[in-house]
Amino acid sequence: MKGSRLWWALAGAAFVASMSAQAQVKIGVITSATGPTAFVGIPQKNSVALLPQKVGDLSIEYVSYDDASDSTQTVQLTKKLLGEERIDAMIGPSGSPNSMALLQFMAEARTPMLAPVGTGAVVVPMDANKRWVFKTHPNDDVISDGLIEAMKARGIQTVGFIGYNDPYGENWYRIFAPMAEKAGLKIVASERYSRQDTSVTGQVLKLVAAKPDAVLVAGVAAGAALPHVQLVDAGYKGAIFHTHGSASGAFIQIGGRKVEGALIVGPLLLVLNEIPDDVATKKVALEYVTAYEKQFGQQPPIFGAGVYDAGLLLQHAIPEAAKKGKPGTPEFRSALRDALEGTHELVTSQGVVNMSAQDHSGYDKRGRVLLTVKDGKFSLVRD
Amino acid sequence: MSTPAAQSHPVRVRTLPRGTLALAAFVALLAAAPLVLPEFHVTLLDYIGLYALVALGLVLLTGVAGLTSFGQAAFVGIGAYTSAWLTTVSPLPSWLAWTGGSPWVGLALGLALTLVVAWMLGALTLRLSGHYLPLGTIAWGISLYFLFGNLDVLGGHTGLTGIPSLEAFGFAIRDARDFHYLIWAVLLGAIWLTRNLLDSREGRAIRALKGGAIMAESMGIDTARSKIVAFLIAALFAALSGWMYAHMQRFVNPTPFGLGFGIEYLFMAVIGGASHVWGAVLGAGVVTILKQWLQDLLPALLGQTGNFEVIVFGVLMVLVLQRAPEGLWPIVARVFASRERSAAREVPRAEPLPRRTLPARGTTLLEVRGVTKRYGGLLANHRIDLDVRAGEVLALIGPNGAGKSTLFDCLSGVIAPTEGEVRFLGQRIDAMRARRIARLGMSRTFQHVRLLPTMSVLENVALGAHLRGARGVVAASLHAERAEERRLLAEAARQIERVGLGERMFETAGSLALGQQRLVEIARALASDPCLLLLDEPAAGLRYLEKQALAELLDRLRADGMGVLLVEHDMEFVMGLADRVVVMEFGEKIAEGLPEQVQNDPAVLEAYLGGID
Repeated sequence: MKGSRLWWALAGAAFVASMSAQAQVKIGVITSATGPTAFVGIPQKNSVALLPQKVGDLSIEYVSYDDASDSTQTVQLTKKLLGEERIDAMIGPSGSPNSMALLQFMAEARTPMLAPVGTGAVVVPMDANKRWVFKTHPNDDVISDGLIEAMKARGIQTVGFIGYNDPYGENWYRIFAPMAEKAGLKIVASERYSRQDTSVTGQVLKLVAAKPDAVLVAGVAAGAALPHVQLVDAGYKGAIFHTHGSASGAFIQIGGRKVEGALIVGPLLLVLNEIPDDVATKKVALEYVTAYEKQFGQQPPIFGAGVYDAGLLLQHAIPEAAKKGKPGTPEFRSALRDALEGTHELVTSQGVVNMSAQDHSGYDKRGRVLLTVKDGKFSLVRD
Repeated sequence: MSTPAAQSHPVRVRTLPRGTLALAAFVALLAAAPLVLPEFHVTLLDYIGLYALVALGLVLLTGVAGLTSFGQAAFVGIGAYTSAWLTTVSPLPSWLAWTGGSPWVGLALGLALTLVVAWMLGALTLRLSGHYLPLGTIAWGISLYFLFGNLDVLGGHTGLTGIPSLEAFGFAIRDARDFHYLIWAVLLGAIWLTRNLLDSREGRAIRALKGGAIMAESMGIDTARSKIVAFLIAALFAALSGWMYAHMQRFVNPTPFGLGFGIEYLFMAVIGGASHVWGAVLGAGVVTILKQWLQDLLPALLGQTGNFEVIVFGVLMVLVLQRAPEGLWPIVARVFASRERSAAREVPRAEPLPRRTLPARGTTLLEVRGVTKRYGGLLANHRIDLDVRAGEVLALIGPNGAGKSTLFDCLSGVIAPTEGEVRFLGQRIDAMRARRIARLGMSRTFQHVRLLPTMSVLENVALGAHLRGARGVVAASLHAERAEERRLLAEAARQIERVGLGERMFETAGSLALGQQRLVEIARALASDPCLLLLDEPAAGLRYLEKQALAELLDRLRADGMGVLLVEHDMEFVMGLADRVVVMEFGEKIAEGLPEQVQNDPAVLEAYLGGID
C-alpha cells in the first residue's frame, strides 16, 4: 500500500519534472549553509530566494545544495550538478578554498561558475581554467586600492600585515604588498593564522614588536575580529585596517567594544542611508536589502550580495546566450560565458561591473566605501 | 553466538550452491549497473566500493582479530595524499624524476609509505590492551589528520587540486562508470584474498587472537606477529581505497581522513557484521545509501535544512545494534545458507605430516628443580621438584588451591617461575616464552577450556598443528599453500578421530558439551606432535565410557613413548592410569611415588583425604 503510493508520488514528480524541463535554464547553487563557513553561506542560501525566476520567456530553475563548508562535499555536489543535473551555470560555493577546488571541473565541463567568494585567487591570474569562473565580489585590488588611499590620507608609512594562511589571506598579501610598496608604504611585518585558530598571541606580539603605524587584518567576519581584539589587548595603539571580509555583523558581534574604530573598506550596502541618492548602486542595493528584510526579517550580511549580484549578471547575460543556443546545450553554456565576460556598465548591489577577458570580477571603486565601527554599528567615513 | 556455521568452514566444496548463485547474480548486477543506472547512482556505488574496501580491512582487524581501530581513515589519507602529491607536485623533485608523476608509481609509493607508517604505529599501539588500544588509534588518527591539514606541500586545509585520472593499458579510467569497474574489481579481489587468508593456517592464527593470547601462544602462534599482519593488511586496504578515491575525486583535502570518518568506517563494519567479509560490503552499502536517502528525505519532510540525518541515523544505528548485535550479514546469510548444515562434508585426507622422533622410553623429558612461584606474599608453589620421563604417565594431584594449575603454567611458559629451574629435553625453559617451548615439543590443555567457540572442531584442532606448517601470509591469501593446508587438516582430522569425536568434526566447538570440548583440547594438543603432553583435568565432565576411552587413549600414547603429565581429581581414573603420582598441598609437594604407595601415605591421607583413617 504504502509502497505503491510512494511509487505514484515518484512517477508524478518525474512527470512534473519532465514537463517543466522545457525552455528552462538550470542554475546550480552550492552554499555552505552549515559548518564553519555558515555565517557566509546562510545569507547566500537565503538570497537564492530573491533571484530572478524568469528572464524573457525563459524560466530559471535553481538547484541548491549545502556543502557543509567542506571542500570534498563541494566537489562531490558539483560533480552531481554537472553530471546529473546538467546545469547551465553555477552560483557558489561560499568558501574560497572550496571554490579553488572546483576550477578544473568547471573548465572541463565548460560551464560558467559565478563565485561569491572573497578571494581574487579564483580569477587572478587568469588562465585556461579560470576562464570559466567569474567572481561576484569586488577584487582584492579594488579594495586594496581603497585601503592604501585611506592609509596615505592618514599619513601612515609603515604597515604590519596579518592574514589567513589560506587562499584568502595569501592572495591578499600577494595583491596588497606590491601596491603598498608602490605607494611608498613599508610593510614591516607579515604574519599568518589559521581559520581554526582560537588565539594569535604569538603573531600579535611579533606585529607589535615591529611597531607599524597601522596593521591590516585579512580575515573574514568573526575570524577577522580575533587579531584585532588581541592587538588591542596587547596595547597596540596604531590604526587597524580591515579588508571587505570584515564588513559583517559577526565581526562587531565577536569583537565588541574592542573593534570600535576599525577601518574597513567594503561595500556601501552596510551604510545605505548615509549614501546620497544619486549613487547608481544605491537603488539596486536598496532593492536587495528591502527584499531580504521582507523575507527574512533582518538586514542581509554582505555575503548574500554576491549571490544576488550573480543573479543580476545572469539575468543580463542569459538573453544574449539564448540567441546562440538552447539552454542545456554546450553552445548555450559557452555563449553564456562569453556574454558574462562582455558585461558592460552593469549596476549591481555592490558596484558597477565591467568585465573583460582579463578581469572576471569587474567591480570598480564606485561600489566601495570606507567604513568604521562606531557604537557597535558600521558607519561611513568621509575623507 | 549466532554466527552461522557456514562462515568459518574450510571445506565448503560444493556445499553452497545458493550462495554461489547469489554471488554470481551480485557480480552480474554490478557489471550491468553502469550501463543502466544514472551517473549519480553509479557514483554512489563507487563510494560504497571504496568504503567497503576500508571496512573489509576492519573486518579482518576488528571483527576477526578483535583489535578495534578508529584510525583507518588516516591510512586512506596516506594512500590518497601520496599519489595526489606525486601527480600534482611541480616541479617534481629530482630524486623522483624517474616516476614521471605517474599515478601507478603513486600507488606503489602510497602502499609502501602506509606499510612503514602502519608498521611503526602498530608496533607502538598494538601492544596496548583493553580500551587503551582504541584510544591509541584515535590518537594517531587525529594526529595524521592534522598533519595533512598543516603540511604546506599537501595544500594544508585547502587541499590539492588538479589530480589526474587514471589510465591503464591505453584505457582511460575517467568518469564514475570507468571507476566503477576498477573499484569493484579491486574490492572483489580483496574479498577473495581475505577469505583465502582466513581459511588458512595464518588466518586461523589471526582468528585465534580473539580467544586470548595465552592459548594461541601455547600453540606456538606468534600473536604479536599475527596482530601486526592483520593491522598491515587493513592499512593496505585502506590506502588502496584512498588511492582510487584521490584519482576518482581528483581533489583531496583532509576532511575525509579525519576521526569522524574513522568512526564511520568502524560503524560500517559493525553494522554489516564485523566478523564476515561480506558484512563490510553490506555495511558500507547500508550506511552510504541510508545517509544519502535521509539527506534527501528529511529536509523535505521537516521543511528545513540542517544535519538532521545525523540524528536519525544515530537512532537507527542504535536500534540495529540492539536488534542485531552481530550485524546485518548473518540475517542475510541465513537466506542463502538454510540447507547448508545438512550437506555432507568430506573428511580431509592427505599424506601425514612428518613426525618428530620421540626420545627413547625412559629418557627424562622434564626436570623440575626447586620451582617457586610467589604472588606478593602468597606462595603458590614452593620448591617443587619432579621429573617426567618418556613413556610414563605422571599424575599431579592435590586438593583445590594446591597450586597445580600454577605449576602447569610455570612449566609451559605461560608464567615465569620466581625461582627454580625447569629443563625440557635438557634445555633450560623457565625463562622461555610459551611458543618456544611449544616448538620444542611440549603441548598442553587448559583447565578452563580455551577453544574458539565459533570455529569448527576441525579448525580448532588444526590450530594445534600450527607449527607443523610453514607457508606464509602471501601464499595463504593466494591459496598457493593448499597441499600443506590439506595435510594440516588431515592431521587435525586424524587427531579428532583419535579422541573419538570424528562425528562432530564440522560442528562449531561451542556447540559441544564441556566434556567433549576437553577432548577437543586434547586433540589440539596432539596435533602439534608433542613428546610431552600436559593435561589439566582432562576427565572432568566426561561420562564413564568416555573416561574409559580417554584412559585407553592415554595408555596408547604412553605405549608410543610419549610422556604425560596429568592433573586430575578423579582418583579412580588417576590410580588406574598413572605410573607415578605426585601430591601437592598448599603449594608444596608432600608425597611422590607409585599409586599404591601414595594412597597409603599417612601425610596424603591426612592432608588430601581430609584425615579419614
